[in-house]
Amino acid sequence: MQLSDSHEQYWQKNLNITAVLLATWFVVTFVVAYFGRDLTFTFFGWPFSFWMGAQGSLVVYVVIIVYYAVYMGRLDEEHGVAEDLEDLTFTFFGWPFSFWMGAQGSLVVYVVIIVYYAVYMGRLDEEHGVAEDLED
Amino acid sequence: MAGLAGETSGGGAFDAKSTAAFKAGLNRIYGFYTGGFIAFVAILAILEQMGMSRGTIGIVFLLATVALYAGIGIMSRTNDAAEYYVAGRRVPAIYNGMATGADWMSAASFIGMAGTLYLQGYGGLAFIMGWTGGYCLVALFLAPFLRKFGQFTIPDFLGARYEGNLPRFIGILIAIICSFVYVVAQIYGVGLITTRLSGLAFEIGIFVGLGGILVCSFLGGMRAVTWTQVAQYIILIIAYLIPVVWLSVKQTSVPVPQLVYGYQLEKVTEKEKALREDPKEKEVIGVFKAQADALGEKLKDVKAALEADRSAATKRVEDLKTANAPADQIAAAEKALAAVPKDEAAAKDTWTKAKAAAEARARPLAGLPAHAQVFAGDPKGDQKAQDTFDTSRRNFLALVFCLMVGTAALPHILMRYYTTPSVREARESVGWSLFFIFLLYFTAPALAVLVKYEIFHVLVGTPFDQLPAWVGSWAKVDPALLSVTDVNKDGILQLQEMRIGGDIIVLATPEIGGLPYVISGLVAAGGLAAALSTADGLLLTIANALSHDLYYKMIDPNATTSRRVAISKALLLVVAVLAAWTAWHVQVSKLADILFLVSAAFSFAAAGFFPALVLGIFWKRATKWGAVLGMLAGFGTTAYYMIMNHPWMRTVFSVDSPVSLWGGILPISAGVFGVPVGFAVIILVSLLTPAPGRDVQELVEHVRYPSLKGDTLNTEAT
Repeated sequence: MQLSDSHEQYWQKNLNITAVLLATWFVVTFVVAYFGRDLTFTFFGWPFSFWMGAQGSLVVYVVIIVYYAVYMGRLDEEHGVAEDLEDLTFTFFGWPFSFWMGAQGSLVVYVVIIVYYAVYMGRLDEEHGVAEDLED
Repeated sequence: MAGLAGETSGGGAFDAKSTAAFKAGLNRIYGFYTGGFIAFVAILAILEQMGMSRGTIGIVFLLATVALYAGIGIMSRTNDAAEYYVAGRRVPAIYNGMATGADWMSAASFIGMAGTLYLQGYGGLAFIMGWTGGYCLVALFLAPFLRKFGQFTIPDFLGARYEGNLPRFIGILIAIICSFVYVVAQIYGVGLITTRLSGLAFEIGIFVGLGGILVCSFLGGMRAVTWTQVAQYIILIIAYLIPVVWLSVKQTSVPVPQLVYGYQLEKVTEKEKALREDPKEKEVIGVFKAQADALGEKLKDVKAALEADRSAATKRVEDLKTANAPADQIAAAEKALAAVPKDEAAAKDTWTKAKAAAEARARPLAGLPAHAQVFAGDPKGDQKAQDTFDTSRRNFLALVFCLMVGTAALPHILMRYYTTPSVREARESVGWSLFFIFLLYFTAPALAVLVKYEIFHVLVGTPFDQLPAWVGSWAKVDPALLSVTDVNKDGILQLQEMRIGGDIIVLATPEIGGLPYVISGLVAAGGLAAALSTADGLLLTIANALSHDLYYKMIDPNATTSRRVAISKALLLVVAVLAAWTAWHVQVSKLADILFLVSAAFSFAAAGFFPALVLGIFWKRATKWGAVLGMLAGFGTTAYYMIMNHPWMRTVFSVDSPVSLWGGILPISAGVFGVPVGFAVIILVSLLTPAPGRDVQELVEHVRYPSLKGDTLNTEAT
């Protein structure tokens, strides 16, 4: 089969993002460790290079992988190479999902929205000193 | 447990409609499971307060967890090929992430790593970075493409991409070598922990654990292994976090050790400086130095020293006998006489070893490097210090490289990404895998620092008669793990007077933190879960390489599905028994260096698989002969470097030539040479051989795109 221009672009973009993320990975791992002796200023108690080895690099690794997954997922859609997504008529504990959403799921979400708003605003009141004085 | 036990019709990919319901079912099951497990631990804690003995708690933990894993195995039993090899390809990303986490974290991660960090400080971080950063390579280069390819094993991909059974066969060999070495170490770990937990003999311990592994993987293959690994992940992460959080609260009153241990590290560094200058510590060092010097004198004239020793010991026995001394004194003197080396060669050997031991113990801080110091040596010091610094830095980077590339090439990990429902979920699943691994790896360095703080600030300086109970009980279990002797006879413990093995750090943390015994049992059960889950995945990889790749693809392509699965199960049994036998043999003979073998598996996988897999996807021009020779060259270079330079390998292969390290790189990181050689040979040979045909080009295009319109190729195996 023949690849279209859009397909070629897709692969080129994949290579580009891979190169960028790989470079990030390389710098965080090898360059930082190489200069480890010089990067020993204190960082929340840790010497910086120790912190990078124990935590910083790990966080960057997670971010690299998650970013790649999200980016590629979007790229799949844009270039029409995404897998068929499941439609929303699957069953959910026996209900057709859309029926359940109408009957129960949406109601749960409404409750969550209202409760979340109430809690969030209550905290905001406190933080900005606009809460009412209430005896408890 | 309908979600786990439900058999799909037709055995192919799971019906997309009920994916969400399936996932919701899983959430519910594992939610109840986690709650149930916590309740179980709570009940045991109450029973302990009511007087249940430690031995009983250990046995209950052992039996309950192994029975649980076996139960999941029985519920997920299957004879369907897609279920057996890839869990029906319907494991949601997050659960595949948890299963990969358990598959990945072995006894070495759970028990060994915090110990290594304790003993090596910054140097140990090579393992933290190496064993997490490798997942970036998995995500960017392998997981989504292998998922699109969608067969059962890694040799499958090599066979299809490089047109033929020869690349597949080499893939089988490398997969088996790496996985077998690794699984022996896991079963060895299982034996140690069951022994510790239950007091059973080592051999029985191995077989109890083996029973747990087998019931699970034997009945249900990848499907049972996946759902058991999720259960095991939950146990191991709870077991790892509880004692560390407790220790953190005790020391800093903040329950998030990962956030605050930087400040503890500052205090440890302060204390290190103080201990180096402490006169009492120096006194102990003096005692060891004197011992080493005395042995050095003896070694100058072995013959005379041996005669002097023997006559002195003989004379003492005679003196005691003539003086009619008590029988036990005479017996002790006779024992001392018997302990005098038999001949000159023996004397030289014994004294050289003793001198080395005394010298090792005379090093400041009991041989521990300053915890926060980056690399040994000094770049601004004299020539020797500069060389030490360069070699230390080079070895750190090389080890990180080998562990990372090895992570992205170990077949039991890569094969997990065949089990997700789609390419998209395979990508996400790598993220979840690393997230779940990250939870433990983020904590291990904190654990090491907190334990060091406890030992430096609380234990050191304690009078010998007031030492906490755990010191005595661990010293009794195994003096190699912990031993304390009042060398300078001042009645107070100095750091220099204590010898500590890495493996004790995690296992003893609950006791160091003053937690009840039930938490110690929990930690041991977590270690057992870590070892069992990894062993499960590895055994499955080996059995599948033999049954699917060797038997079905190469010997009898007409075999029916049920026959393939049956053969796979039979092989699993054989391999498991063989691995257990080897582990037992290793334990009895103390032949192999387990830790070295495990790390060697990473270098082998890295050099053997990584170049061929990555170029197979990213370079259409890579050819069959390029891959064949490249895999052999990469693997061969690594093996050659290890055999020539590693002490244990040298004795196995009876190498006599002098050790010659390339650029001072230790044999553990041999992959740092093998990987570039592998890449270079594949590229060179590929350019010299004719380009692969149209069908290979189409296969490569097929795996590069999650879905391609007009693509008639379907590689998904059912």
